[in-house]
Amino acid sequence: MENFIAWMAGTWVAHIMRDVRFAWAWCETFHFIGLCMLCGTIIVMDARLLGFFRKSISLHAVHALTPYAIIGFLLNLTTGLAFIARDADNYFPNPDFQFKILFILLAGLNFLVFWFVFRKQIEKLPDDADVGIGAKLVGLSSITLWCLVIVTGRLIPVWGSG
Amino acid sequence: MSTFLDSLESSAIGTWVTQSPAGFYILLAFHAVGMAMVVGVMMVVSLRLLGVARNISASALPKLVNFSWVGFFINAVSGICLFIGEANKMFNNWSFRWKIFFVAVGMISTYIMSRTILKPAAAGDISKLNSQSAKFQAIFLMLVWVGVICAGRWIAYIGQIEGTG
Repeated sequence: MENFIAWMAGTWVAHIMRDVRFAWAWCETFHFIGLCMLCGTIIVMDARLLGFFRKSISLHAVHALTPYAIIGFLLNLTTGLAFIARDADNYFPNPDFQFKILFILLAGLNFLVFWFVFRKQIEKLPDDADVGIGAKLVGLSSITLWCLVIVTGRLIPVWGSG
Repeated sequence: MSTFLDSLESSAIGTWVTQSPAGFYILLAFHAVGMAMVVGVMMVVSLRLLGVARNISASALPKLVNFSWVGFFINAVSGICLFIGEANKMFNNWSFRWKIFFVAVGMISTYIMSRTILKPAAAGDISKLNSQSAKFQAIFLMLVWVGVICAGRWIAYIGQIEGTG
């Protein structure tokens, strides 16, 4: 692990994050914008899966918003890796950061369950249909996990490493 | 003013924010989730006005705005508590002042969007959703909320009036 941290600290990304004025602040800014794109679209999509807005938001609106959720996620992945590159030796030992990564992985797994298990069924339903309990649980898990990602992420700087 | 700000910091809320780690963490957590509710959901509303996800009907949009107002309330309460804990530092920081300015502009813009575009469209005047005004207001509102995020993030880096941090 020490070798990996040392390697990350030597990358060009880490140098930019350390040496370019306000690079960290700009990354934080884009990280927050990305989280709003990701979580805003997820809130709407998961609310629909849970049965809210049945008459006013088509079940298939979920698909139209997915690219924007992905853009938000990619923005956060990029800026997140930049944070880690500069400060890997503080991030990896931080239990708060570890929980954040765990919740992101679980949210990703949850999305894969939605994509491979429920998506095709949902595509055949009418616009105002209510989805089954399985898809509702996926929606509830999704919004819960992403809220936990936000909370644990926000607390990383204040929790500190050991 | 500084006497007033000092009294805020030494109040029960101010003391709780600065001396209770749990209190500070809880407020930060609520403020971050509230931000996603406000900015994130309003991004979806703005995207709809720009022609994305047209299968979100006009009647959904005022409801989504109402949901984002809940997020705004969460942020107002958590933000006021956080401010009270560091009243002197926040009041004397230009990034914080710009953030509050952008928040005020965002609130007014959201209200105007609701009155001129979203509620008339929900009542049946669908042409409002496709108007140039709708597109302009959508882009303007997104820029304002991005301004809130930028100014909020940069409080820690710039804008502190000398001798007040």
